[in-house]
Amino acid sequence: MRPARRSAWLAPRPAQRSAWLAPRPARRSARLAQRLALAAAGVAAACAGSLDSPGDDGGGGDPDGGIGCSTFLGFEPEAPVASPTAPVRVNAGVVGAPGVLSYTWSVSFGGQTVAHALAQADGSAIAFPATAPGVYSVQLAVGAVVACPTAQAQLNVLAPGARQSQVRLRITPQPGANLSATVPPFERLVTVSGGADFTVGTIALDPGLTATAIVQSGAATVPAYLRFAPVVAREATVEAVASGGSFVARLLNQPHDVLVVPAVPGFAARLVRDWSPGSGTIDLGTGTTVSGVVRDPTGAPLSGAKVQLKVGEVPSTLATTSATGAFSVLVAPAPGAVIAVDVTPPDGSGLPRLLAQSATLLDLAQPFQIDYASSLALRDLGGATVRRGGPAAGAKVIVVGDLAAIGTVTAGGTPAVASGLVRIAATAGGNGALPPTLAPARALTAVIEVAPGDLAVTAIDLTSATPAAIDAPPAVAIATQLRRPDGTSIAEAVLDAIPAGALAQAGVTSAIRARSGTGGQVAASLASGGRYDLRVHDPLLARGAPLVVPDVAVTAVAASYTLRPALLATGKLILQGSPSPVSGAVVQILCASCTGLERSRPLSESTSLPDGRFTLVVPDPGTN
Amino acid sequence: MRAAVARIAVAGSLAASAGCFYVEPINQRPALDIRPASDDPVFRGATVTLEAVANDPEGQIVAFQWRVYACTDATSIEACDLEPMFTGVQREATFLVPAFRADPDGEEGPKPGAPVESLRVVLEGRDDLGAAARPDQELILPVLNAPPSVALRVASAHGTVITTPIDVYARYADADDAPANVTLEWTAFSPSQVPDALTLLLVPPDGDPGFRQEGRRFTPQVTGNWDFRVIATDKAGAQTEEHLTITVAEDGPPCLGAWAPVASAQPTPLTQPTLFRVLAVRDDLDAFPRLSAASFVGEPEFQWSLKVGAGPRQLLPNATSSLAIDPLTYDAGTVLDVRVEVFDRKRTAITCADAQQTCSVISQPACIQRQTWRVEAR
Repeated sequence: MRPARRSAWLAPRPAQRSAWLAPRPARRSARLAQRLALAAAGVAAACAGSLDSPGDDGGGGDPDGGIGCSTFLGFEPEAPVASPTAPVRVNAGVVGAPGVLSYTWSVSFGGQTVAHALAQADGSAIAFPATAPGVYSVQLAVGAVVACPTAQAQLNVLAPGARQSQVRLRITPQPGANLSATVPPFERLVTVSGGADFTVGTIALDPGLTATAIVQSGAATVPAYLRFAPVVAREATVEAVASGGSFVARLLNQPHDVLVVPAVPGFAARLVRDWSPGSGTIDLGTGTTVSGVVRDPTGAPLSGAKVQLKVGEVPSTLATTSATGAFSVLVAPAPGAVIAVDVTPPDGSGLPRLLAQSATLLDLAQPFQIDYASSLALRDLGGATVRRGGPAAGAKVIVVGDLAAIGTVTAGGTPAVASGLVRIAATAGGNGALPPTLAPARALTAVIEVAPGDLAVTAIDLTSATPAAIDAPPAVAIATQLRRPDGTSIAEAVLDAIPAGALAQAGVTSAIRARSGTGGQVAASLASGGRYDLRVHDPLLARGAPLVVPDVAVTAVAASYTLRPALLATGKLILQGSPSPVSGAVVQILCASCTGLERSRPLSESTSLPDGRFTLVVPDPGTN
Repeated sequence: MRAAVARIAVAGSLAASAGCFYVEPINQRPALDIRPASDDPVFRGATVTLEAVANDPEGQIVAFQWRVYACTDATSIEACDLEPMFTGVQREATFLVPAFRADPDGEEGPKPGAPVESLRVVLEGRDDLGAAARPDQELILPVLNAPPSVALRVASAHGTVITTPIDVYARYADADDAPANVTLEWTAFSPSQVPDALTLLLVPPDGDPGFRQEGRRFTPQVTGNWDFRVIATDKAGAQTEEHLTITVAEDGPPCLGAWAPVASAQPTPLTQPTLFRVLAVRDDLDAFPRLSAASFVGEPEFQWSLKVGAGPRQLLPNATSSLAIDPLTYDAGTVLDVRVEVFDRKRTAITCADAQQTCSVISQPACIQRQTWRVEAR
């Protein structure tokens, strides 16, 4: 018999969760331990199979009573590949049923019965041909002198040469429907094998526990914002606000890393690692004061600038420089963490936002000296006319740009070189002319909003002089065709154009959405000179997986975009310790390899049905 | 019988030699009666149970023999099948009443199928000593035409909401005839008892040849209790009427079901680019994620707006369920009000004051149409 282990398909079993289970009465613990042992024995050869028996993680067993008859199914091989010659063997394990047993098997695939043959003379094992990849269902009824529950299991049979990829499966239960209380979100990685639909099996959601705690620093209770990241699923975060210094949150019964950001001055934010939901308090500590000074390109103190540090992901308090350019912030030191410095200059200064970071050069124990480079010249945009054909009265202009080496941050030794982020806004007057507005004398980009939603992007080079005019060309009509993976055009698919580049820097956040019509044709009006992340998807009919094409210039929109090949992933939600299905939960597939915002945009999303089942579209990694 | 006669003779000679007279008692016939298990009329296709009641003067056990003949007219032997459609030897006889006679042709050649109009039930009884009841018990059971059966169901995965199609299916059968010979008459009455138009639905085969299905779709334009009537009529004119009351409701407002990140009355820190998202909207017809691909099912409309610091609230031309905000595009410390409002096809105006973080057009905190995130760019 193989050692017990789980495949990536399967939800965590009690054996994995047991370390965090709340104490139970001894009798129940003994029963649980016995059931765990049985479950471990039963799953020994079942790794590729997704046991689909409500109420328990095993095959068919007594969900909460004493130890009765339990039935388990195991598959050999564990991860079969579709083959015309190699059958799949299913072994039955029955515990708690004395005497001679009878076995009644059924196997189905795609709703059709699959013939099987006995692989064991007593009927306790069968073999069936898995000639096509996909999800096979196996059901076993055991006849015995005691009542044995019917065991059901689903088996993913892989396509030959399947390539593999990973996605994140996130489940956000909603109170209401059939959940009386909030249940923490759940997330885990799912390995997708190309070329075949698959099941993720029955997922038993951890109902979590209600954590009540206070945030304190010394004897003081501190109002704060809290973000809890469970250690086994760090992205399934739960947030809470401790308005009066205490909070109640529904959390998984396991350690969490907690980001605590005080809502009142005088306390440093802190990342508390491995906090236990049962501990009752979160101690902020006292923090460390970091002081420094900010100077402008002339070497003069820069007053009115906002300064913030980040140690790792943890922000410091926010300080405003005094007339002498001095500031002090509170931070929570973390050895080895990257220290980032962020200086927002005062409005009207024309200076870029200064950003620097280093894991080695900046010493929190030393005063911070933040200097804008003396070479950073400024230019006045005043008088430049914003035009669209004629003067564009009232047009809003946001000048943006990324600048390198605009200053230094010194804290102890070698200075860290700072980069700059330009975001300077001005509004044209009635004659289209901009009022006096300083901006760095560099090659920058102007994002112009001629009217609400009517945008244009144009280069503006302030290196040597301010241009007399800033032109805002009219929006560009783009047209493309949306196709399904086989190349045929599809109506009712969706194209989202998400602002990128200068538009995103200027704070333009609204995605432009258009739906394809007959022949797959889709048209939209996009900002001239703009760049967009194009996202093609088919949320309704799921005729393919989303296609994301990043950073596309409006002039480079392709003649057509084709959805990625897709697979269907199915599963079922139940609540741990209960056979009841969980309906109405939001189930999402998210990118596992993406970073930034794309990591939190679902590739597909659905809600679980009244029977707890769900279906999602997943990108198909294909086969070799 | 011969052995019994011999025994009587021997007994007689013994009695004479003893000087007294002895008469052997004569075995008497049992009395028989047929008792139906129910007084209900008998329909074709129904299951009938009859009970034999025997009374034997000597108390002997009586053996029974049932024969049931299907007839068009049980008063005439010629109008019955030659062979019984049921035979049995138990005290109780339970049998299915056939719809048609088995051999209506008789000697006169082929005839069309003859519906069974009556049953001729013959019961014989014989005691242990072989005495048979005389005469045999006979019962003539009139057989009636069974009316068709019909069951109605509403198939509406999205509730019964005004102006949206509601499908009603009738599954029907006829115990003594093929369902193809049953006709249905459909009527839908509005709450004010005005008949409404129905459109035919194509219904796939039932899978059970004994049943058929028909469907009708109606699109109610008023709320209230709609009365759905279906009259099923078989070839012989027997009818069954079924009623179904469908309560048609107003299209309720959409309810924001789940969102992220957390929304708080106090500003929460925005430390990284964040996607403000509506995860789920509950609604009769315009839910998110969308309920189905049905043409009358839609999606909610999202209206996003943003208020930066003390500035005015700006409506954003963003029609998706999420809005990305990068704190780096705002000065550190700037407080943003990110707001989403959700509308279904009725577009009920959200009239709460701008300062209200949430809003419910039906004054139910569990069903809000507005959510506002207050965040501080950090």
